[in-house]
Order: sequence, then C-alpha cells, then structure tokens
Amino acid sequence: MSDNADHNYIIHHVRELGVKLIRLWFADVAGRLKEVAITSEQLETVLEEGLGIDGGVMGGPTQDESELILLPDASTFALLPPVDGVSEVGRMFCDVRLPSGEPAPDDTRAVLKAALARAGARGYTFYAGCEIEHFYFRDGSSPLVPMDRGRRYDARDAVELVPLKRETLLALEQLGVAVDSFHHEDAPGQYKVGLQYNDALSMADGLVTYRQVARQVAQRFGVIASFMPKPLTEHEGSGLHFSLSLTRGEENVFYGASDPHGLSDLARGFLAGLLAHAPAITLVTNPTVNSYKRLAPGFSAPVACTWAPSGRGDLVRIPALQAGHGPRSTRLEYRVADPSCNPYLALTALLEAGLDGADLELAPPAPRDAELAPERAGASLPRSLAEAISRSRESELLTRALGDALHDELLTAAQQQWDDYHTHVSAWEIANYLEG
Amino acid sequence: MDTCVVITAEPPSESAVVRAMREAGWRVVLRYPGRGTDEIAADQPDVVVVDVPGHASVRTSVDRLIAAPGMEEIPIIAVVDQTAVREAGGIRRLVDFVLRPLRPGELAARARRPLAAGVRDDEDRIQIGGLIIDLKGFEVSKDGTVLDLTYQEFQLLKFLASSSGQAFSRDQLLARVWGYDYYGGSRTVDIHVRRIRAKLDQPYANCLQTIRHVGYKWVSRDALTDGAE
Repeated sequence: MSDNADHNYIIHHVRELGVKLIRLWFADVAGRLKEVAITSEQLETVLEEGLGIDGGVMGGPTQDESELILLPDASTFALLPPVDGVSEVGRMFCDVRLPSGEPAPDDTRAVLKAALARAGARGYTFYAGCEIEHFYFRDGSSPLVPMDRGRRYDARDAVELVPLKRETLLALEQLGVAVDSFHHEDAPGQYKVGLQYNDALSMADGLVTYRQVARQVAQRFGVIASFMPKPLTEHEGSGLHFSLSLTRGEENVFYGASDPHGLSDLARGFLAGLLAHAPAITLVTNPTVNSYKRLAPGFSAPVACTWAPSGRGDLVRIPALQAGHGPRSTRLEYRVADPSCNPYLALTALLEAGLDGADLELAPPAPRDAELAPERAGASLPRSLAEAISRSRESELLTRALGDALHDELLTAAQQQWDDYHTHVSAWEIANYLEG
Repeated sequence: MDTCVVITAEPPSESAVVRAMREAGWRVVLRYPGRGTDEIAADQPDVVVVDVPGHASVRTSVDRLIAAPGMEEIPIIAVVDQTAVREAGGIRRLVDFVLRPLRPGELAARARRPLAAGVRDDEDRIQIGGLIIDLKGFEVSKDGTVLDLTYQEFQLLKFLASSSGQAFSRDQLLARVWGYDYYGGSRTVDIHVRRIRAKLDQPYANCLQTIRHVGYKWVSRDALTDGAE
C-alpha cells in the first residue's frame, strides 16, 4: 500500500462514478462554508500539491497573506445530491495551509484537529452528538412569514415542507450525515434535527454540511432555511445542543456507577470545567449580536451557569441513559451554543474547558433546585455580545486552545460587529423615540 | 515445508514463537534484528514473524525488512503487546499481528492465512452472487453498478471480506483499517458498518454480521442461503 492509497482510491473512484466536478470545501473563521470547484482532471495534481487560493478569505490572522493552499482531506470525499437525476459532483473538506506548508492559524478545522490530537495523546476520544434548531421562512417575505403555524412535535406540516424535508434528509444520508430525528419545535416554522453522535471532527464537518444542504434544498423550494439564533422576538430562539462524551478504547469514561447521577470523577470535573469557563467561551459558542437575544430570561434558553439532571433551562443537562446502551450512553448535554457558531471552534472550546476542569479536579456545584429560577441559581452568562467580548478577552483557556493570533482576531471581529450594531439606529428606537 | 523467518533477539530455546511455529510443522530460521535482516531473501521465507519488544522497534524492524531486496511480496506478521495494538495497526505492510502472551495455535494459524486466504496478489477479487469486491482495482460493484463507497468504507469492507469468517473487535478494526493517528474511536467503526450495510443493501448487507460483545465479521455464504433466492 502506498502512502497515498486514499488518493489513488479517490482518483479511481471519481473516474468510475463519472464525477465531473469536485467542490473543495473549507470554513472561514466564522464557520461559514467556502468552496472552490475543480474539474476531475485537476484532481490528481490538487491532491498532491494542493490548490492556491487568495489569502484574506479566512477572515482571521492570515488576511494579509497573498496566497493560501487548500489541501483536500481525501477521507471526506462524498457525492453531492444528484441534480436532475445526475450525480456528477463530489465534495471534499480541505486543510488550509500557509505557503510554507504550516497549517494556517485561522484554519479552524485544523484547530479542532490539534485539540483532538492532544486529547488523543492522553488516550481520549471526544464524541459529540447534537440537536440543531432552525426556521423555515417563506423566501422574500417581509415581515418574516414562517412556513407553518405548528408547535412542538406537531404533525401538520405545511404541504411544501414535506418534499423539502424528505429531500434534505436523503441528501444528508448520501453525504454520510446520519440524522436521528427531525421534528417540529416550539415556534412556528421551527424544526429541530438530531444528528447521530460521532467523533467531534466528523460532527463539526456534519454540521457545516447540514447548514449547507438545508439552505440549498430550501432555496430550490422558494424557502429560506435560517440558522439565525433569534429571528422572531416573541418566540423561542434556535439553539444547538451538544451531547458530549469521552471514551478510552471502548469504555465511556464519563460513566461512574457510584455517583447518584451516574457520572465518573472525570465527568464531574469536566462538568465543572464547562460551568466555570462557560462565560468566557460564550463568544465562541454564541458569536453574533443576535445570539444574545436568545439567551434572555423568559424563554427556555439557559441564562446562568447551572446544571440539573433533567434541566431544560440549564447550561448542562444529564440526559438519561439510552435503553440498550446503558453506561456507554453517558453524556453531558451543553445547551448554550446556537446554530450561528463555528462548530469546529465551539467543540474545541468545549473540549478544552471540560478537560481543564477535569485536570484541576474541580467539583461541580450542586444541581439546581427545581424550585429556583436558573438566573438566581448560578453565575450569569453574558447578556450581550459586548459582555461576551470582555468575558472572553482574559481567558487563558481560549488563548491556549485557539492560539494567540486567532483568539485576538475573534475579539477584534466581534468588537467590530458590536460597534456596527451599536451605532445603528433601529426600528425599535424610531418607534419609541421619534415622537417621544 | 513452508519456511518462517523469525526476527528475534532471544535465543531459540527460549523463544515461544520459534516453539509455536516448529510445533506447527514449519521450517524456522532465526534472524537477529537490525543488519541481520538485510539478506533475509536468502532464507526464502514464506512468512516473516517479527518478535521484538516495544512498538517502536517493531516499526524499525518492519521498515528495515521492507527495504530488504526480495521482500516485496512476503507477508510480515508482528507479535505485539496488548497496549500497542493501535500503533501496530498503523504500521504499513504488516498483514497481521498476534498479541503477547501467545495463545496455542494462534500464531501458526495466522501465519497460514496470508498464504491461503488470498490477500496476496494471486487473488484480487471476491465475488458473492452479483457483488464483486475488486481488491486491487479499488471498487465494489453490485449487479454491474459501481457502489459509492468512501475510502475508509472500502478499506473496512475489503479487510473484513478478505478475512471471511473471522471476527474482529472494534479496536482491532480501528487499528488495522484506520491506523493510530485517527481522531475517532470504536464508535467510528459502528458508523462505517452501518453505512456499508446501507450501500450493499440486501441480501449482501447480511454478510456483514455483528457479533455481540465482540465486534464484526464478514460471512460470505449466508447472503446466498438466507438471501435473494
């Protein structure tokens, strides 16, 4: 077997399947999917040498570079869904390198890989499952018109959504993203999709893929799939819940038989680390101005650093063990993040925060008493992007996890976003002050 | 009589490997690790067993063996510690490994496999009904249509199908198919098995069997008896 057996396989496979185009996918610092398409004739060269792209597209510390190199990860090759019955386009995720060959500091996929490699060197594999919420709106509607008026688990779909949902699920299956469940959520036009748990890198790739596929399929139906955290003032916003676990070999090391909540000492330390670092990493898990309109009291999103076994308004919940899977399904559900985040960075921050708590043997506080409102039971999460920036600025954990340059860039970009927003005169202000 | 070259620093009287292979009727030749293996072709081995302590020295020995003239086609098996399974799986050109302490008969049985089962060049396709796994041509087709398998899916299917009837744990599969620098764990194997089954579809999906509390194995004949007919 040659070193490049995977390259040879893909080159052969692309020829056999009659693939004409390959989309090279990569994510910028904000987690937005970017792509360059190449023809299958170029594939062999690009696999070996990479493909040069303009610097400055990543939105991070490399914006002054004149060129960056995309190096495809052949193991992520998958066929994109057929158009008019013809499948001739594939995709691959890419590493982004500096011309020197070093990983680009703003390649967030590489940042997650590095964090996983550090955990791997200690014998840990980091798994994540997720539930992602989003809205379907009618395209071009102003004010926004949700696609249906359903509520949680309603079965009365808007007729147009039936083929749309079917096509989305089939496309994901083809791309190797396994969907556990798909159901209506609280707000009109809002759905929740469960993605089957997987190693954290595949999960982050899967989330980027999900957002892309959901948007593209919806577009063909004249519908907008929106991952905005809080599009409707009076309704629940959209969250992104991560179910986290660590394994060593085939053993889930979060399970502890003697603990009343079934958690090992490692898991309790991990939980404490998540609670302790949550305010500082919120900038990463909830990176937009709009994110903080979801994290407001009065809705089910968490507002404080609390946990509870069955807590819906808490930062961390301990889901029940799954029938038939027992201790292997022990996990911590982190409920703060929202679908506007960069999943590579979010999972990096969560892993590092949890491991830090485990290493320091932090003890989690007692679970929140159900009688007590979350905002009175724990330290509060940032209430605005401005607060998130200041909570994140001093975080040594983030500097260590992301690298100095990338951490700085996230802070600068967020500050710019906040300044833009803050100086913009909104409709609310006109309504309240114009004739006041 | 088939010839087995054992790479070891132990004296022959103390080597469990030498004993096991001799008992199984092999002609055994000893070579000292390092420079001693450069002219290994002169021994005309049918199989080489590397029995050196520590996975780093296993890797060094294997690298040296591969570089030796005449070794291109000769299967190499390593004896490794339980703790080094993942590292061993990442070593190229190892067709198999066995764990210390040796279990009676296992090494000899595994040494026989590469000669018989056809992971070597003389057999490069596996056919079950309309399913053809082309081991050298990198493709799997079903009733004439090429299946869209990812590289890792193909590697896993190829590995299991070329050891038909033998069960492997998830950790073994991870080590041998993915190598040690992979970000996933045993769950990764389950996910790939599920996808391969979906792509093979019935009756061939039946060939890839789950062995409770163990892992997975490939059984060719079941598809034809339980399946389409």
